[in-house]
Amino acid sequence: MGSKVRPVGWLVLPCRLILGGLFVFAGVMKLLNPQLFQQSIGAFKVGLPEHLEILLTFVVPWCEIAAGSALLLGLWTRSAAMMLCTLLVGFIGLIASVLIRGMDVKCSCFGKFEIPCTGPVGVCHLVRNGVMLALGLVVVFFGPGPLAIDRESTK
Amino acid sequence: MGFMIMVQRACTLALVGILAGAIHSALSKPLQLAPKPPAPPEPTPTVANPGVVSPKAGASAETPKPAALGLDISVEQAWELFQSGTPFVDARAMNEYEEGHIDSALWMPSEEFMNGHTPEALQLLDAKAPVVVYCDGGLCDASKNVVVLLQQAGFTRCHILTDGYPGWVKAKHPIATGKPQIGGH
Repeated sequence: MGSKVRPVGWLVLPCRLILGGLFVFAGVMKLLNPQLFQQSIGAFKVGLPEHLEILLTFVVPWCEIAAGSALLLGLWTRSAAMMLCTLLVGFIGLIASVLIRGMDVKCSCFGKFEIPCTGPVGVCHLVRNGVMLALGLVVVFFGPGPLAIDRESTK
Repeated sequence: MGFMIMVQRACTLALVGILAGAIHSALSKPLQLAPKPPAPPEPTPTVANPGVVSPKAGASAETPKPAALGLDISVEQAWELFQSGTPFVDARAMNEYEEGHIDSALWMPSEEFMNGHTPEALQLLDAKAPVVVYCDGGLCDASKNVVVLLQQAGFTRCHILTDGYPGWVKAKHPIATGKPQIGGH
């Protein structure tokens, strides 16, 4: 318990908790109304067959919850952050493709809540995901920081 | 920690998510899939049986303003669309529709799209014309669900009345009561 926390660790902690909390919340909200999320996936018109759309409707939120929980606990922190960064890159690509195609669709990223972007998918959603990606990269590069299971287990 | 270990653990987390999602998907009730796009509207009138449904349903193609409107619209904007003949869709439950709905609104909750079924009322709408969907306002999901289904069906000018039916009533705009004349049989 006596090991010293590097100053940068205190920068990582809020990044880790905010990102983990957001993803757990997003995953739970999607699972509370899978219909809404499935419809959003369909509205993005990425050409997926229906059975894959339905599978993704449940797989994406569970991946978010798994990685988000790991981040909150500080367990396999860098790996969880890496996974969330990969997800975020995918989301950013999807949003960019919607913007390029000039589509008017809802993202249902947080279920019925729209945080902090309201209305159809737009530049705000891109920026939001960009900020979340930056938080994730901080954790990937600097590790779990204080108050993490990873940290305790390496002592 | 080695990069390969990091990747392996990330893959393990992803696998946990995929397995949990697959099990959840298998155990959950079937989702409502999008219907096939409706047939193109007939020249005039768009309404199959004008004596049964409001003649307003077909008059919306000439509406001048909706192109400038976003997905979410206010009661005032909805009122302008209403006056120009834009069809309204009530996404709430049958009993709520019966107790009171926007005058001439079609009843089309997302349940009507169950298993790829095409709702009767959908045939009365023009996919290229504006359509306003409402539920109870606030955080109700019903109108969003229906709008996404309509978008999947090829509708490009859907609007959500964000204040919903309560906002419409508060503004003292025309309402009606009774069973829907199309759908719900």
